[in-house]
Amino acid sequence: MLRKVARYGLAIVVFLAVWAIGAAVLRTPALPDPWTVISQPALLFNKPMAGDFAVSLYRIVTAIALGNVLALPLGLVIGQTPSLDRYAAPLIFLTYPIPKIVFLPIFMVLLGLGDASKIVLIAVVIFFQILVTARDAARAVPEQSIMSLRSLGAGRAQIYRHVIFPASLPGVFTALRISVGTAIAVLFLAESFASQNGLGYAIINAWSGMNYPRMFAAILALAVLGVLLYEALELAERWACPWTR
Amino acid sequence: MDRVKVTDLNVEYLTGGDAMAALAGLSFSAEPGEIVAVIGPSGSGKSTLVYCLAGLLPPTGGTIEINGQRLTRVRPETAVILQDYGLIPWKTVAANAALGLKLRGEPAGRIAADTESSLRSFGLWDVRRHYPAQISGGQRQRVAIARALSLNPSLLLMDEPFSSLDALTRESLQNVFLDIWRRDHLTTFLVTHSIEEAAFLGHKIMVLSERPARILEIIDNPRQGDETFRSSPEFLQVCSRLRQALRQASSDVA
Ligand SMILES: Nc1ncnc2c1ncn2[C@@H]1O[C@H](COP(=O)(O)OP(=O)(O)OP(=O)(O)O)[C@@H](O)[C@H]1O
Ligand SMILES: [Mg+2]
Repeated sequence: MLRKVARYGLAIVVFLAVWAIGAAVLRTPALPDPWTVISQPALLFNKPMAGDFAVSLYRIVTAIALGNVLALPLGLVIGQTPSLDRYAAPLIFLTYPIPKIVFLPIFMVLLGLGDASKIVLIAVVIFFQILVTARDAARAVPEQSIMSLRSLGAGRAQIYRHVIFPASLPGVFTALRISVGTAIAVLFLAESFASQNGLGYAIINAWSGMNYPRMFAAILALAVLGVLLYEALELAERWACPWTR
Repeated sequence: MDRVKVTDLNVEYLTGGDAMAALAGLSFSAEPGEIVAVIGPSGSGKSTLVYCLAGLLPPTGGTIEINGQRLTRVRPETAVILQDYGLIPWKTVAANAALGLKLRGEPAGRIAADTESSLRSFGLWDVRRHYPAQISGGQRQRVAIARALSLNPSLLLMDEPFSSLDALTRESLQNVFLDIWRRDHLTTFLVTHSIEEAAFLGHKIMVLSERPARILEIIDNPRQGDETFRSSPEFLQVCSRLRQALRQASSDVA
């Protein structure tokens, strides 16, 4: 734990150093030096910022949960059912590469400008990542493992519970770690127009007011959000996949 | 202890639309409490036969009768140890050993008590919290045996259970198996690559041909399981007879 804190400390030092060098070289108000931002705690720690942080966190966590709850069972069943996979696979391959951000206007029309449209958009991004991963994982489960469980008298549900679902978990966590980055980028885009709150809104709002220190404070908050999510995933994986350690 | 009667067993696999025969008309039987060793070239169809006897794979033709009843699906009295053990990587030794009882919905207290006594008797108690990847091959095989026996089977099917073990571990596990057999007299099918293992353990030794498997020979081996038999001239005779039959199995195709 202490070591981890130390490593984060080192990462922060490197990050601030690169930032400071960049600011010193460019000499533009658009990139204030880190000291102007972090020397004023009020920039980062204030009520509106806390509110924006909480809203963004809520949206992204809900979206990740929703995407997983829908995609995991579906992907596992598709991967385990060749007759279904024959039809589902082309559909997945056709829709997977479409940048999901293009659906934002549709979701805004259908679900309004509030949380729902943003959550659904991010959930769709996560959904496809997890769907593809879960399908592959279910296909890769050795026939032997399933036979071995059947020989002990397991039924279909028990096979999913004891073999197919756990077999998919390490891959799902890897996919989640990859998609958290995308999810934050999508969150930012979704919050940056026609939005009244969230860190994306805070960044854009400060930008349009040319308040660069405030803008960078919001960017820092977004980075903290990312770190929180990654660390939470790490903890969840340790808890859910003890055999991979 | 079960009586097994197999009549004209045929299995074909469908690969890319083509039917490929794996078992071609096997007929044999096992008396209650008999150990049948099955030996044959690699890829001949031994595992396929185990899947059929377990009720995991419906044959394309022929019948399997156990105690006079036609086998159509997995039965609770049959225990199977599949090639490569079939242990579940994400379950601890204890959870793997308890899995059969758990799937049957036995009460937790009973599962815990049964599993503890079986893990202790197999010398696995100290590694009960380990995962399969963290224990030795011999220990893994003991977990598989413990799990199989936890359901009090009357028919035991083992697919190359000792093949990936070093010579000493293998002999000690063969003796573990013999002790259990002497106690419970399980009807047993034991698939093996090893001529010596077949000759030491099998009351009957069934020699299969190259794929599609036919029975080349069934050799009676009344002195099986006797430690002194292992170093007797008769043992060597049985072994050389098996070796000859296996050579014939490969030259058939050539
Ligand atoms: N699910 C399957 N689909 C198609 N062909 C299969 C399948 N399982 C096995 N076969 C083929 O059937 C033949 C017999 O396989 P099997 O696994 O029964 O052989 P084996 O005697 O157990 O081999 P080994 O000694 O290597 O374990 C092999 O040629 C194998 O390639
Ligand atoms: Mg085999």
